[in-house]
Amino acid sequence: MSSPPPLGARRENISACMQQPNLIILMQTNCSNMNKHGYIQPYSFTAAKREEPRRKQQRLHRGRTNSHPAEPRTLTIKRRVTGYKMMNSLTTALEFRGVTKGFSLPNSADTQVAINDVNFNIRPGEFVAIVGPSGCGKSTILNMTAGLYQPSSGEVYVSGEQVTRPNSHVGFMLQKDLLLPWRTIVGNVEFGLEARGLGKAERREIALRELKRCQLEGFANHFPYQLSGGMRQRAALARTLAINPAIVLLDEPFSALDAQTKLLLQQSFGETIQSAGITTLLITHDLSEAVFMADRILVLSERPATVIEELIVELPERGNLLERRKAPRAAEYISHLFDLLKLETRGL
Amino acid sequence: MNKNYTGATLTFALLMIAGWEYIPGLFDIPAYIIPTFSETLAELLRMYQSEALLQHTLSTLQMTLLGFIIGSILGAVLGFALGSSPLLEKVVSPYILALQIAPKVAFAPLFIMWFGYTAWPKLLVTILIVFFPILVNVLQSMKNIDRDMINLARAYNLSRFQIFMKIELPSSLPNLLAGLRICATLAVIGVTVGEMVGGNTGLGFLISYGEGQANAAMVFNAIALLTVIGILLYSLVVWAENRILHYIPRAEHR
Repeated sequence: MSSPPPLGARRENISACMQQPNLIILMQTNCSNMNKHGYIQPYSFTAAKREEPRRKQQRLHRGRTNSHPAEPRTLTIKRRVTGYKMMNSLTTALEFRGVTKGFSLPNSADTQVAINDVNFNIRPGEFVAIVGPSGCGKSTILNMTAGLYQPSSGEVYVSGEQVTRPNSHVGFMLQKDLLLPWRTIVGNVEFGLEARGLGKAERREIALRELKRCQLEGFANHFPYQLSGGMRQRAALARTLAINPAIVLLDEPFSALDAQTKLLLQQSFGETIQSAGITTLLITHDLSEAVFMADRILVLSERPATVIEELIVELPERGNLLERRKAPRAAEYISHLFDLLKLETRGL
Repeated sequence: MNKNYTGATLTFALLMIAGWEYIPGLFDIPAYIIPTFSETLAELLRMYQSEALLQHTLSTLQMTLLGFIIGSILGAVLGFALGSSPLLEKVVSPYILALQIAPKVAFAPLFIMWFGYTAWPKLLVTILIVFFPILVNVLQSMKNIDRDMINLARAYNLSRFQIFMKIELPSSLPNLLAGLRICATLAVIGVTVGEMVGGNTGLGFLISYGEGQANAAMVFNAIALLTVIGILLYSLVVWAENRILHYIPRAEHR
């Protein structure tokens, strides 16, 4: 049996918790063998590689033994194992409680489990990224948050309210901009507001304000085909923000763009989201994108997906990707994620 | 560039007319087989003066438009209905396929047996012939609508009706208009067959009348006028298409 990571300096753990006071109300429920504040653990890369084959078991065994030999610490990464329940859901923008989703296969009585016992929560204003092997059920998480379908078991809460149907607190954005080609840009931004009983003038006012925020003021009356791919995605962001959502879900919004547009758009999204203080869940394949943009990264396993690791990104200046890219530690986070995912997709 | 082509096209037309005028004479082909260009024009004038050509043409134009409009509306409505209800589509689609394959003009004698020598048979044949291409095109576009687009609308709490009006209907317009373009030409066929089989008005009637009199020039003229009606209707649809689908980028000048 490979060794779990060392328990490490407990004092650091506690101080890390104190820096995030709203985390203290978290209560361990199914990781009872962990230390009292055990969801944050100093952890070394070298240890990570060794323990990976047993990651799932390790979720249960972590903290029990301390037989791991001393390793030179190259990087300390704080991780939490999820599985806690909120005692006070008012402090979460989004919460998944033991969510499992299976799909029935056509022409078969079997069901395929897309995600299995997923637990996490996102605090208001936080930017969380979800990474995982392709086809692991990331979009299932998104669709359940949007209320497009229900979990097979478990619950999803947005702002403390259980999600049972499509609700207007969630804004989502996909790789495709999904702009209506027959509408002008401002008309497209108004689209999300049209089921809300707002007056025409009011809708127009909100739409123009959002376009300004997304730096598209001059293009209100253009049609989508007249805009570049990056501008169309910004218009889609404006449409998403116009409904003033409690949480924004971004499902690989940059993956269809060319490399340079992608960089510019990531920067632009980062700034807009940071300055507006919007709670965001980013689903992505791009590990560096996750590290540069997020406060926290959830790593999913292969299908049936479950959260196997939670990585707190301690880089300065979230929202300023250009600065974050320069941070030397960023590369270490990325290579850590890379190691994790490479292992998880080894079966392919 | 463009001017050159126009010149060449006109030259070609002149050559064709010249050939039409003089070649039949060279081979002693009688006028009841191939009337010359000038004979055909003279017959056109005679038809206008003594065969009530204008009334016949207007009648055909009216029937074509009426059949085209009614058939399109019925086809579009049923297309949207089937597109909105997968169950209904599954139940009905085999019959629709069968009816689509059946030659619609063959129904004309049946309609005459049912409705007599009235306007109904030709109108029904036209409606029937226009109906299916529109239905199939609309149904196809309803099936091809991006699921993510519908999901986005659902996430924005749009009602079923709003989703139809704001997404499904406009999304299927390109297909609907493509169907209308096809049917603009088919409608003329439907009316012509209806008039030929059982009628006493319209250009189709003039064709069978001219045939009975061995008057090929009359048949030529009737065919030419039917073509003009088809071109007019087709141009109308293309004009509407360009206005409605202005948001679809087009390649600059082909």
